[in-house]
Amino acid sequence: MIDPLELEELVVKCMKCGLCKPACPVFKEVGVESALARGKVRLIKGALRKEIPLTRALADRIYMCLGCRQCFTACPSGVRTDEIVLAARSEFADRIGLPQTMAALRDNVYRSGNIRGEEKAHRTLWTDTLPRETLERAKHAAPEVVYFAGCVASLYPMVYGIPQAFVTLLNKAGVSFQMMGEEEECCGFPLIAAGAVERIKDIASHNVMSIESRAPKTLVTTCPSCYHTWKEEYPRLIGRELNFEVLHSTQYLERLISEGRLKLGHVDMTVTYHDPCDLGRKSGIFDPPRNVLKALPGLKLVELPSSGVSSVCCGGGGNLEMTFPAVQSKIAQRKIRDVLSTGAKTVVSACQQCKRTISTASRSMKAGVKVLDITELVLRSVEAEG
Amino acid sequence: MRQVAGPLEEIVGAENVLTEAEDLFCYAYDSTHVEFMPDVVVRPGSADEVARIVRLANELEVPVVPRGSGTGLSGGSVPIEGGIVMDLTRLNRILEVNVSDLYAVVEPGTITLDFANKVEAEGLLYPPDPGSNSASTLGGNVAENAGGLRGLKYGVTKDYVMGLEVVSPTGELFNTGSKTVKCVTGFDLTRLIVGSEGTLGVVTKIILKLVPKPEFAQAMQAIFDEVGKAASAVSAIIRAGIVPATLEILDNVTINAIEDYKPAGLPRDAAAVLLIEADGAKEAVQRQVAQIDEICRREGARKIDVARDEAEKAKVWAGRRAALAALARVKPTTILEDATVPRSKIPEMVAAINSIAKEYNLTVGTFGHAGDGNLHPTFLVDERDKDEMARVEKATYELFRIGLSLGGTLSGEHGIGITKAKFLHWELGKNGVEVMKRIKRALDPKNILNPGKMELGGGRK
Repeated sequence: MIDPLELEELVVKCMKCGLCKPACPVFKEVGVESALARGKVRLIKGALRKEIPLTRALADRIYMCLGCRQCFTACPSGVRTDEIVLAARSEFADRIGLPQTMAALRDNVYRSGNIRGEEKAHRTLWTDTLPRETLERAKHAAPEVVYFAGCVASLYPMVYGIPQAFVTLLNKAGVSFQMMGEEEECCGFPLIAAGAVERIKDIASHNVMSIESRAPKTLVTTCPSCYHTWKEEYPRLIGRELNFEVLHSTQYLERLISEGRLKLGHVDMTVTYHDPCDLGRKSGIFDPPRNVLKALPGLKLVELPSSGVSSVCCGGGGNLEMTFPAVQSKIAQRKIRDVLSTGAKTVVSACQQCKRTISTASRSMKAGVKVLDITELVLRSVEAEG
Repeated sequence: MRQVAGPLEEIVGAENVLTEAEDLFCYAYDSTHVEFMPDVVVRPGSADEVARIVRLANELEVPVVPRGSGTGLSGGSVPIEGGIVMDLTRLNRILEVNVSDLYAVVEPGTITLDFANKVEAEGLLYPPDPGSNSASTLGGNVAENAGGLRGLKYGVTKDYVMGLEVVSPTGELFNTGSKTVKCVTGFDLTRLIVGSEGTLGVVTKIILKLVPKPEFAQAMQAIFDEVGKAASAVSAIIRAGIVPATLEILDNVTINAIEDYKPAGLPRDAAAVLLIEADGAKEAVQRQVAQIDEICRREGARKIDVARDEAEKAKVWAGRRAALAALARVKPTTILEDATVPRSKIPEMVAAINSIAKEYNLTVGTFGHAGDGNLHPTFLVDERDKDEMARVEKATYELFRIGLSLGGTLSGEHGIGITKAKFLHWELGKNGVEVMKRIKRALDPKNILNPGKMELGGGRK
């Protein structure tokens, strides 16, 4: 997140060379220049300089971005289009308001502390089927770990399996942990992506204090976007370092495995791994998930045509699902074709949003591609060990 | 423009016609700093649609500006008179790669690098490799006659175009050239169309020549304390009968920009670095590299490193590849020129560039294709500084004047477009420009195709 005042200094760096073209997943599907990083940066610069009126149509076009940061990897001038887009969304929201879908999202978070506007009590529905002893263990008074599930994993039944698998693994590894239950609130990432940042500092302070009151050594989340927000954004927003460690579940599982706290059994499968943007390109976490996968006996990992820093967004980023669902679905379908090209029938990711997006595409295409979160796969291996 | 958009929608479908201001704004530019808004953008999906659009434009007397990826460096695809921007990127199929007859047939919206990769997988080479090849289209390369790093040995785009399918400025489809190695049938219309920047026709199909991929390549770098010595080494290499595939130069400003951005181990105090790659049969390449090594030493190179493996070769080219990016980070705006001189005149040209920069109080980094005399003096400025922008305009004026006085040319590979149009008569003379105008008038009586470019008539709306 950057200050809108810095925007002008950032947009002026774009020399309009167009080398972002092969990198932009949105442009690949839409094909028109305003969808390209170069086009969006030019529109933002034009609106800031009053070369073109700031209309609803212009502001809406700035939402046609996944925030996946792939353009940055191709940009010779180092233009941070993802950061520019976020700052512009916020700036334009101040001037002419948010798009309807984003205003609704903001109101949900303000009213209910979650992206769907559901009752706070619904946040724990995913725990209903967990064994009593797991839930008891999650009330440890001086926990090693606080687990932060995030809105999507807590509120979309399609991905309940991720937090369920993760806390089951914590239990099996003998980790003392706490969950926040109904007190957990949105980390604010969707608001940053929406350009609705007026209360973001309050949200950050509230969440940080809420964790610090539980005094864990480590905060672990299965959500790459929550992870990125806690790790990168919060210290800046509250103006100090956090007094606990923040890890993504892939890093924590890597640690549990290396410490021998999880007994792994055979999983005879061939899988490919999709790097979530917020985990990989935006947080630099490429090795921990691969190390976890390599530790699973019998598992064969084949890489996607573009992986690691070049991983292509599945379509789940940047709130595109809400603002331009048709474009999102085409991007996700391309991901399915990429998965099929590897010969693997199962794609593993480490993000509930990637799982939702890729699973939905697979179903709509009748492609038969199975999507597993890495936590679910590790649990399968642990259960195979018995 | 409603009267144009409606009929255009009938030809290509409403989803392929853009009329909203926010869309048009994004088709007002290429990679230069000149921008003009189109009135409508159309995205045809076949040669027949292209022809119908051009016929409609003739009826309504509206300009048509063909466009690929908009990566050009002379304003060639910028709609100076407004009108219709015709985005050809939907025509992006590789129709044939013929390994027996060494040619390929492609549509103009095909991305250059995608094509190069595809033919390489067949053991062949498509040599033109403009810096923007990951984004540029082959149609745009043909229109601007794009070059690249391999120009010295392999030539530029025009040397690989065997034939074309073209929609004339009045909307009739015609073919030029053939798929044969030899073809002297009729006028060489292929050469007329290549480099005509969309003023004489819209290319809808391209027959491209391919060459076998060289079996071996070796890279080296030579460091010099004087630009003059580096330039003498270039001349000496060519005089010795050696034609490297690539022979690039980086000046001191560029070297330091690279070391600030992505250190490549280049000495900051060097006046110039030559980056050289020879390719061909293994024994021949090894012999050539030894000869080049000896020549560079004799001409006063301070240090020479020959890459021993692929990793070292990649290291040699990492600095060159980072050159523009490194310079682009020094200041917000880069004005990249491509004035080209006979390679023996490179010392004079480099000296002139530096003295012009000093005179107009500008920062300039120079890198480029020393082997073919095509330098890229890159002025590092800030578009918001009006005074600096005025000075850079005067500086480029001087640059072209001196380049021509050294027996050079205005453009080695970027084209004339808008940015160099006013200098065209310096090089071609009044009569030369008049011949071009007569050809243009004969083919395009209503000045429909890409008006206002290359001094062919028309201008700002």
